[in-house]
Amino acid sequence: MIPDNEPDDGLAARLGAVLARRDPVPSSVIAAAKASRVWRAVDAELALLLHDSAVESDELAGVRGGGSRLLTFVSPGVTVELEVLGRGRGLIGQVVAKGGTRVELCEPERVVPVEVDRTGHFSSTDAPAGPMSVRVTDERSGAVTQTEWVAI
Amino acid sequence: MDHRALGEVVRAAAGGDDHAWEALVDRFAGLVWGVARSHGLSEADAADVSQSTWLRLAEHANAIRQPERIAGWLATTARNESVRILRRGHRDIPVGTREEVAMDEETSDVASRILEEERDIALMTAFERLPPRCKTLLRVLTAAPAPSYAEASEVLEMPIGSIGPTRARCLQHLRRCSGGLDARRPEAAAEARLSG
Repeated sequence: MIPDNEPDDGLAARLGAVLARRDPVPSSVIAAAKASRVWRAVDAELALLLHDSAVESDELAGVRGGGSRLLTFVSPGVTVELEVLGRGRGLIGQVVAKGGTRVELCEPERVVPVEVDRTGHFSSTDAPAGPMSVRVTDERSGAVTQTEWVAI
Repeated sequence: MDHRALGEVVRAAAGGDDHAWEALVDRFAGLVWGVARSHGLSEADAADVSQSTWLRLAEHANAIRQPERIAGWLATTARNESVRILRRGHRDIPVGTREEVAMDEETSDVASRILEEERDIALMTAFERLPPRCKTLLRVLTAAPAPSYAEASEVLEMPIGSIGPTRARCLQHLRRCSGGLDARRPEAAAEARLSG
């Protein structure tokens, strides 16, 4: 199919052209990347993703089973545990922090407040597939902690 | 692309300069997309990887230690997100509307268009059979705009001196992959379709 005498540079150029024609970056993806800039320099402490059951060994994931995914985010003052219940089945979570907090679920284009009980538990049945982040605000100091974005 | 050094563009983008941010997206959106797609992700999953990668850049922008090595940072982030998504399972929701494949006006002649289509498909099919490492390397090196050698080295986590020889091996692999399943010449396939 590929002529034997087609030189490397010619073949690479042809491959580049074919990939650009047949698998271009969708314009919606470029628009979303540009729109991500609104999340720059958010005045918040970043809670880093410390643990994600999706990247555990298959053996461990198999033991857990059930299709739910556990994520742990940690900052110096706040820990957020998330359990994503599977496609379209929502999520439950817990914030561990000193004192009361407000919790919001951030999607690229909207921020949804959720109710938190006294033990820091919250849940959502309305968490679409795609990137999300949890924002936690300390009720007394107003200090904001936000988790790293992760696609659920 | 902005003519300022890349590191300055990254710092400006981190500091709130919208034009700098858009310049980064224009320069590296194809790289991020290519990394995701070379992991075998669907368009919807690759779109999630892309958006997560750019959102992570937004939140980490001020903490990037080596802004001039942003290409490597983006590729590593996209690779990690791709692995997460592969383990998480597939998403079936379609993303946006697929752009129509533009046809060159000069190739309006049906037979030559079909022939070109066949050649494209043959090359894509061979490409899809390559090992992931080769797919990523060829994706990155043939992306538009093309990366510098230094960028390619960061993105591929490979010394600059190894890139040329590895590219040659991957292209040789591509030739082998294209020889396999369908032995018909593309012209013969096009003719068969036209007369059928």
